[in-house]
Amino acid sequence: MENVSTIKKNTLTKKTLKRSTKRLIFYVSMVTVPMFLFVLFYFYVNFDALAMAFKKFKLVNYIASDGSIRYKEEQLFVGFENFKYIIDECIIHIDNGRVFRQSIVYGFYMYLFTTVINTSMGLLLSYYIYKKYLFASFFRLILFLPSIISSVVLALLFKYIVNDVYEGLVDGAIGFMRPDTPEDPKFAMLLFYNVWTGFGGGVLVYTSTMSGINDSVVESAQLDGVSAIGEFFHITMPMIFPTFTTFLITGLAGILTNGGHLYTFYEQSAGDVVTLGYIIYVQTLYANMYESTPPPSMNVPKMTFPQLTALGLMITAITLPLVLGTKKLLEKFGPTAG
Amino acid sequence: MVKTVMKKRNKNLTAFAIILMTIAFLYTITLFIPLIWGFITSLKNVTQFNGGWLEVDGGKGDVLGFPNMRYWTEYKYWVTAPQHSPNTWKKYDFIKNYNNIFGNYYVVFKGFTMDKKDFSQGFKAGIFTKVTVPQKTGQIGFIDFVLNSVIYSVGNAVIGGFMPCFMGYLCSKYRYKFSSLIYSLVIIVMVTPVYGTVPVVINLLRNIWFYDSFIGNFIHNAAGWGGMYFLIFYAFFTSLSDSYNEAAEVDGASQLMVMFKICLPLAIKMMMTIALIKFTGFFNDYSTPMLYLPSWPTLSLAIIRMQQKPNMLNSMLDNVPTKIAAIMYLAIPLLTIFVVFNKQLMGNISMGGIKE
Repeated sequence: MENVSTIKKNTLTKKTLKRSTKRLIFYVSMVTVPMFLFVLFYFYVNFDALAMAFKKFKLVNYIASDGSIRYKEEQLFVGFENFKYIIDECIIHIDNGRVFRQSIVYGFYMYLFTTVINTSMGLLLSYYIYKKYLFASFFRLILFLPSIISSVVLALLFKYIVNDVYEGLVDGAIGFMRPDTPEDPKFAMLLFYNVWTGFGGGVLVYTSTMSGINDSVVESAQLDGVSAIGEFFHITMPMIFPTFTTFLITGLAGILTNGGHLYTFYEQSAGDVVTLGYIIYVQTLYANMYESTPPPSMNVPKMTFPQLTALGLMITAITLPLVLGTKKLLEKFGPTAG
Repeated sequence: MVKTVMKKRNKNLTAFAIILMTIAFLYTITLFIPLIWGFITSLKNVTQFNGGWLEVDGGKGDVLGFPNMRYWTEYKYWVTAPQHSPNTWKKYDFIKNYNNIFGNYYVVFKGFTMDKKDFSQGFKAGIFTKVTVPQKTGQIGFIDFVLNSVIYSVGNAVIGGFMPCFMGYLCSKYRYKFSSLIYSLVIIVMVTPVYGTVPVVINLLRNIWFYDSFIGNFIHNAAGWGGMYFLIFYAFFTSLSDSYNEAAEVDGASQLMVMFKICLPLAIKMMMTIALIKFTGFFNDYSTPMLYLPSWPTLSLAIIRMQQKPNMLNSMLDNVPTKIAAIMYLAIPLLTIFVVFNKQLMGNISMGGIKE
């Protein structure tokens, strides 16, 4: 009897609930958990990083009530000490900072080369595919291949070719990417690899953007006798400029943190030819809150978690204005469709 | 009329097009050289690659040639050579009778074991506890790596396909002010690159006991629904008419049924495509498991780790052809996906929106 009455009551309330209320209840119950996670991992984490950069963590031992020695964590507010450490030890210090400073230069070169070569080649090849010249769909497929085949496979095979095959063919030669190879050929190979695999990176997006270009515009230009090159620079480029900007800016955002596949090649023993992104990654792997063991064969001052977050904040402080400024400039002075 | 003209293959090749075609062809060749060379080398015996058979090759390694069966048939002498420990070659007893060109693959499948210490480091866990999770000991083998890879990539791919769709649906079909707030928050997160948060995330996960577990990794990944795919699903559901939902609701369907029975199935194709793209990404990924799942190394992580360090447990793995055979184990599923699903992977999604 009781059961029946409660069921009746429930159905009654369900019916009497307004549709809008039902929707609201459903919405709130569904959205809460994903939003909580989103806020936790994207907002809380950023604020915590901000706080952590100004702190120092210490393990303090004390004698517990049962007489045993125990450890507890102590957090100290240290102001700008972590930032000072990065600037003094990693950037200014003549010996300790050499590899660190060099890594920034390497990262810059990497951005420059990959952007100039990959973007221009990517655009031209996309244009080729868009114009449906011979084997266009085949090339589209092939250019997509490096983004499916992992960098692990390609990078390691590449390394074996430039090391073992080269050594096997030439007597007494030292491979291009051994840890003890001189810095210049090593970096050249690294650069070559990054350019080589990044060739087709934008092609998929560029071609699909190009296929959205209004055919009548192209048609009328062709009636006016525009050449293929002229069409590329005067119609295609302005039309896909927003996509082009997006790629340029994504690259720019990674200028200081681009790992450049170094970990895939060398794990933690890359020697002195490193990028800043690689340094941060390896330091994060081997550091913890309290002390850090410097990764083997890496001539970089050791950093703890708080110091790493401080470095991350400094990078953000440099990159964010750079990215937003470039975006504004490109939007203002870039070609407009029309 | 115009459209049909454009869709046709462009046959008048200008000099400009010929140059580009040459470049594309050269690129294609260079891309296939490592893969083909890798496959051929993985079939070679160590002795053929390094050169150890004086009567045949004069001690000079054969790095470019095709695999030679003679090296495999004679291999038992090298396996039982003194530089390999008896334990090692007893494991590969099969080789005495196993004159097969896939020997390296067999060695990796049977004998690719690593020390757990190579991956995990031990850490402090819990925000108020003083518990230290010790470094893991023991061995971990090829099957474990594959299993970890499958759990990691399939689980995260399903989450990565579903969550943006789920949130995209909710934000576009329930037009509260909070929905537009969510939309703006996603945009803000997308356009502001913030660095150096990895230590904080690790610390957070450790404090809530979710570090170094698949559950924690899935939760962490589920939090990352805000991104390009969210925007794509948002646009998709916004363009969808409300009439179906309203009709279903009038017929007495609950909100949950409307979502799971009517709306989300419409996006199932897109969801699958995104999950497939994510799957290839996660299958390749070694850096995230290394940071967040040190006790559960995936295949790609194990393969990277075996390349540098000499393996203490199995010296049979310390040669180039066997290492390349291990790499091929990683490449084969990806190449299969590429061959079978390339239309889906390339066709449906672009940065601007959906093309169907």
